[in-house]
Amino acid sequence: MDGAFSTLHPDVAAWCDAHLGTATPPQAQALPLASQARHTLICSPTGTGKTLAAFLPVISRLAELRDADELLARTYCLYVSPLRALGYDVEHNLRRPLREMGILERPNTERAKKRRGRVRETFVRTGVRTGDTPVEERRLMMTRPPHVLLTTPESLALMVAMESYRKKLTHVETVIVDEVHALAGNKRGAHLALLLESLAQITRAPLRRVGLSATVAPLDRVAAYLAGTDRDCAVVDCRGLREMRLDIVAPFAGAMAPLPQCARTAFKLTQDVRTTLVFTNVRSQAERIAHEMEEVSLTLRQGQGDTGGAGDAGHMGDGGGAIAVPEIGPRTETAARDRRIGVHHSALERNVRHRTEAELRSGKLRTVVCSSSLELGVDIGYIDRVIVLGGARGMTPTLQRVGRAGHRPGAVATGVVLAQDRDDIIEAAATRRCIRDGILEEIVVPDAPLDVVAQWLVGLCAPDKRIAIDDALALARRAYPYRALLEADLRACIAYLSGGGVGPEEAHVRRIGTDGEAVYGLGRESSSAYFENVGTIPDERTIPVAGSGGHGIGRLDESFAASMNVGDVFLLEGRTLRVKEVGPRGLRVEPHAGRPTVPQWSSHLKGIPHALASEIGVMRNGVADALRNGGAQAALAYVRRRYALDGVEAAHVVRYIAQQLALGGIPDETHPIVELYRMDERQTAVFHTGAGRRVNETLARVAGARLYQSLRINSTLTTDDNGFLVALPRRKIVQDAVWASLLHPDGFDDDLLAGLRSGWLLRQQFRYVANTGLLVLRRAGGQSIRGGALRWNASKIFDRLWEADRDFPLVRETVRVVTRELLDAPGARAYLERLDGEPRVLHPAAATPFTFGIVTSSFGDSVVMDDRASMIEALHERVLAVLGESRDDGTEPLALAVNGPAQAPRQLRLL
Amino acid sequence: MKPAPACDAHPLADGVLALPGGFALLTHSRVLICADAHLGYEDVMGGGAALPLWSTTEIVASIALAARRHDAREIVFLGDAIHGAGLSEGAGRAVGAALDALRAQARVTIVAGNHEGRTRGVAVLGATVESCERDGWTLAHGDRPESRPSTIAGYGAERTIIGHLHPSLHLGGEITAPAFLASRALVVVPALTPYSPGLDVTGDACLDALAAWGVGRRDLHVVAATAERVFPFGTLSALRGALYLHPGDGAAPLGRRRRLRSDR
Repeated sequence: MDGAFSTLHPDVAAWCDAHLGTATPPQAQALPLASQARHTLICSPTGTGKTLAAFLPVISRLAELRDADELLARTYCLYVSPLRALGYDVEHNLRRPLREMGILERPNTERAKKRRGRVRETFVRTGVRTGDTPVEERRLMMTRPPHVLLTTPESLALMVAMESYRKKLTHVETVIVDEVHALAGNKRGAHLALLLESLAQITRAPLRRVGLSATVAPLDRVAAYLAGTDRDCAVVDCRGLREMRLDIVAPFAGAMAPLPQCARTAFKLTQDVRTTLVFTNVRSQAERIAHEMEEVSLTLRQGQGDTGGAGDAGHMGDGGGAIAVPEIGPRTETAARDRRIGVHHSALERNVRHRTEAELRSGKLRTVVCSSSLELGVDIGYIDRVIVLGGARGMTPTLQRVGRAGHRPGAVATGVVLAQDRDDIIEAAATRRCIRDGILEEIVVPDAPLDVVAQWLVGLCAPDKRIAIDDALALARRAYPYRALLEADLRACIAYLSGGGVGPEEAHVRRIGTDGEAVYGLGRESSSAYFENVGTIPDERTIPVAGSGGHGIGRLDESFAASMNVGDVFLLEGRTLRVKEVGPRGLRVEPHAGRPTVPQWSSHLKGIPHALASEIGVMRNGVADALRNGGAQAALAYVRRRYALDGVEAAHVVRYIAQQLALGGIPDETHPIVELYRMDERQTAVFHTGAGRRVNETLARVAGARLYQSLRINSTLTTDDNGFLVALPRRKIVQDAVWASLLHPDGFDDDLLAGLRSGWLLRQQFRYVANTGLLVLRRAGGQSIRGGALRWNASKIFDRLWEADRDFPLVRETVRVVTRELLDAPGARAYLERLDGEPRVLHPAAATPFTFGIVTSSFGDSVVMDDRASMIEALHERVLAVLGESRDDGTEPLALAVNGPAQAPRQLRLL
Repeated sequence: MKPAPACDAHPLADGVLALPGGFALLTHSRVLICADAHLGYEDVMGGGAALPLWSTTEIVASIALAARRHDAREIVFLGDAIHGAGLSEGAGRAVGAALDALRAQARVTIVAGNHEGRTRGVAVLGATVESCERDGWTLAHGDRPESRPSTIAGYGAERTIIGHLHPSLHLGGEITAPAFLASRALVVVPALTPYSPGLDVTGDACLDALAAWGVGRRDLHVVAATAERVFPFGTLSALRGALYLHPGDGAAPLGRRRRLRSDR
C-alpha cells in the first residue's frame, strides 16, 4: 500500500490500493496535511487527481463516523464550485468510489427505506444543490441533508441565511472550494470568503478549508484568500507536473485570415486526431466558427476529395514543433453524420451543454467549439488536441485551455494557437515565452467591495436576527478580501441599507434596521429582497429559444432577440434556425437552411496582462533592433532564438515589424508614438503605447476628456492592446502640439473621472453594483424587473447620487470597479509618470500595420460630453436639415403655423 | 407636417399646445395636462430602491411652475399620478401634501390610470375620475379599450388626449427625451416621471400600440420636449425615413442601425 493512503480508514485505503495503486504527487502531499487538519491549497494541473486528494480524507472520516455509529443526517462536507456543471460532474465521479467501497446509499432500496427516520445512518449520501435543483429535491434535502453537499457560492449564500437550513450545517467539518483561481480575483470570490466566515460561525468544530486550483499565481496570496485573515494555510504546489506543447499556426499569406479560412485550417487540424476542443474568446465567435467548420465538413463530404479550398497557406506549424496535417482524404466521409461539430457556451441551455459533454466523452462528437465554458474542469473525457483561436489573452488561460488536452497523468498537453492576424502570432509567441520563463499573471483579490459586504450583511440579519455592528465588522475582517475593511465604510453601508443614508431626506424603504449599536433583520418581507436577489453575477437579460417541440436550446441577448422577427434566420448551437414564433416566453424556432445572422451577446473583452504586454513590447523592439542592425536574417534568427518561432510565422512577424518601421515607428515603454491620419474626413490620431488594453482604455478616456476641456471637442475612442485611437468630428482639426500634450500625469484623476462621467461605463457598472448592493433589485415579488427599466433606474439613481453624495458607498464601489478592475488607473498613471518627454507625432503616408490593427478592432465607445439638451438639439438640427426642405412623403393632417404660442391656436385649422 | 425650429410652445392639435417639460395645455380653458407622473415611484420600487422621494418633489415643483407660467386654471393628471396604490404611509403622506400644495394653486382633477389599481388610488389621491371632457377633448389615461374611439380617426371622430404610452425620442445610448405624438383626433402626452425610458416613438412597438387607436405613422407628428423648449420633428413617417434604413428603401440620410418594418 502506498504510504500516503495509510492515514485513511482501512476500507478507503483498500479501495485506493486496488484502484489507484500509488498516490499522485498532489495526493501524496495533501493527505498527510488532512490528518493534521490544516487548511490546504492544492495547486496542480487538471488530471492529476487533486479532486480525489481533497475528498479521500472526507470519505475516510464519514466511514469512521459510520463505524462508530455516529453518522447523523447532517452535512459533513460542503463542496463549492463556481460552475453548476462542475458540481454534478464531481458528484458523479464521487459516487463511483463510494459505491465501490460499499458505503454509498442506494436510493429507494429496502435498506434505505428502513433507515429513513432513524437518527443514525449507515450509508453515505451525496447531493447537489444549485439554482437548478427542483423544489421537491430541495425540500428533501432539508429533511435529510446529504453528507456531502455540492453547491455554488450563490446557493451557499441562501442556505447560510435560511434559519431552517443553518441548523443542518452545524456539523460541517470540511469545505472544499474548487477552481479557487476562478473565484479569488472577483466579487463572487469576495462573497464566498464572507460566506465561509458566516459558515465558520455556525459549525461546531473548526472548519477545515481545502482549495483546489489549476495553475495560478501567486500561491501565497490565493492560500491567504482561502484560509482567511491570519490563518495558516499549507500549499501543495504541483504546478510543473504536466508537460505542455504550444504550437502557433498562421493560415494566411497577407495580414490576416478571414474566419472561413481559420475554420478550414481548424477543421484540418481536427483530422489527424480523435478529439479536438476549439476555444474562442467570445460566444458569437464560437457559433460562427462552428458553423463555418460544419460547412467545410459538409462540402468535403459532398465533394469527396476536395482538399480544403484555395488560399490555404501550404504550411503548418512553427519552430515549436511542426504538426503534420494530412491532406483531407476519403477518411472523413466514413464518419458522415448529421452534425459533427459540437458547440458549447454559457448561452446554451444546460441540457444541450450536458448532451454535448456526454457526446464528447463517449466519442460520438469528435470536435467541440466552445467559449471559456469548457475552460474549467468539467469532465469531457480525453482530448487529443486543443486549438485556441486567436490566442487566450494571457498565460494562465492559455495553460488552462491547453491543459484540457491529454487529460491523463503523464500525457503531453498539445495546443495550437490559430492566429487570425499578425498580432496574434506575436501575442502567442510572447505568451509561450512568458510561460517558459515561469511568468504568470497575478491574481488580484478585490479590495473590500462594498456592494458585496452590504448584501452579505442583509443575509446575516435575515430574517430577524440581531447582530452587534462590532461583531459584524470583526466577522467580515476575517475574510481575506475584507481584512482592511474600514468601520466607517461598513457603517455607511448600514446607513443606506437602513434607509437613512441617501441624500437629505429620509428613505422610506429599508432592508435592515439599526440602532447605531447593532443591525437587525426586519422580518420575512424585507429579507425576501435578499433571497430573490442573492449573488454577485451581473444579470444578463436573455430571451429563451426553444425548438418546435418546446425543448430549450439556448438564450439570446435581450437586444438581439428584440431585433428578430418571424422568418428571420440565425445561428445557435452551430445550427441554422428560423424564427417560427415570437411570444412572451421567447422565440420558437425550427431548423432551416439559409444564410444566418450570428447572435451577439454582451461581454467585456479581457485585456492582456501587463507582463504579456511588456513581453510583446520586448519582442517588437527586439525584432526592430535586429532589422536595423543585421537585416531580415538577423531578425529571423532573433525570433527563432528567443521565441522558438520559425517558418512562415517567423517571416510574418519580421515582415510586419519591417513594414511598421518603414511607415512609422515602434513604441517602447517610455516612448509612445502618435500617428495622425484623415479617415472618413475626420482627423484621427492613433496613439501607439503597447501598454495593454486596460491601460489604453484609461489613457483614451483621459485624452478624450482633455480634448473636451481644452477645445470643447467630442471625440470617438477605440482601444486595443497596442494603443488607442481618437477620432474627431468632421471639420475639426487639432495641431500636432495639442496631440503631443495629451499624455501627462498632471490632473490625471480628475480628467479620468471627467472622461468616465461622460461615458456609459460608470452607469452600466453602477447598475450591477446597485443590484449586488440590493439598492436596485433585479427581482421583486417573484418577478424579474425588465432589463430596460433596470438600466434606466440605475442610471437615474446614479446621476442623482453623483450629484448628491459622491461618497455614497455604492458610488465609490462603482468607481473602484471601473478604475481598478475594468480599466487600470494606477497602471495608466504609472505609465504617464514613466514617459520620457512628449510622444513623437508622425504623419504616415499610409496607415501603418499597427494602426490597421487598432482601426479594425471595433470595441470602442464614444465619449460624448454633451447632455440631453444638446443631443436633442443636434438631432433636431440634422432632421431640420434633411427634412426641412425636402418634400414630406406623408399626407399632412394639419396645417400649422409655428410662430409661437399666442397666435398658433387661432391659425390652426382642420383640413 | 414639416419639422420646425425649436420654440417655447408648439400646437399639437386643435386648441392643444405642447409645452416644455412635457406638459400639454388646452388653450381655451387653460387646462394644464400632466401625464404619468408616477409619484412615489422610489417608494414602490423599493420593493426596489431604498431612496428618498426625489422625483415626487421635483415633478410636483415643475407642475407648479408650469401652471404658474401658463396661468393654468386647472391641472389634470392624466392617469398614473402615483406609481402604485400601495404606497407606504410616509410616502402617501408626502404625495398627499404635495398635491394639496397644487390644489392651493389651481383646481386639480385626477384621472385614474392602471397604476392606481382597483382602489383607483383614493387613499392617497382623494377622489379620482375615469375620464373627463375639456374643450371638446376626452381626457383619459389610455389603458382601457373602452376609452378608445369606436371609429377610425377621421372627420367626426371622438377627440382624445391620453398618456400611458410614455412616448419618447431615443437619442442614442440610453438618453431619451419625452415626446408628444399628435394627430387631429389623438394626442399622446409624454410621461413626467424621469424613471421610465419610455416607448421609442420611432420604433415599431409604438406604431403597434397606436394602431389600436386607428392612427398610423402618416397621421402623427412628433414634438420632443426639454425643460426649456419644444422641438417639432414633423411627421413620424418622415422622421422614421430620415433616421432608419428600411429594407429596399436605400440609405436613410441619418442612417441609424436598426431594423424597422418598411414604411412602404
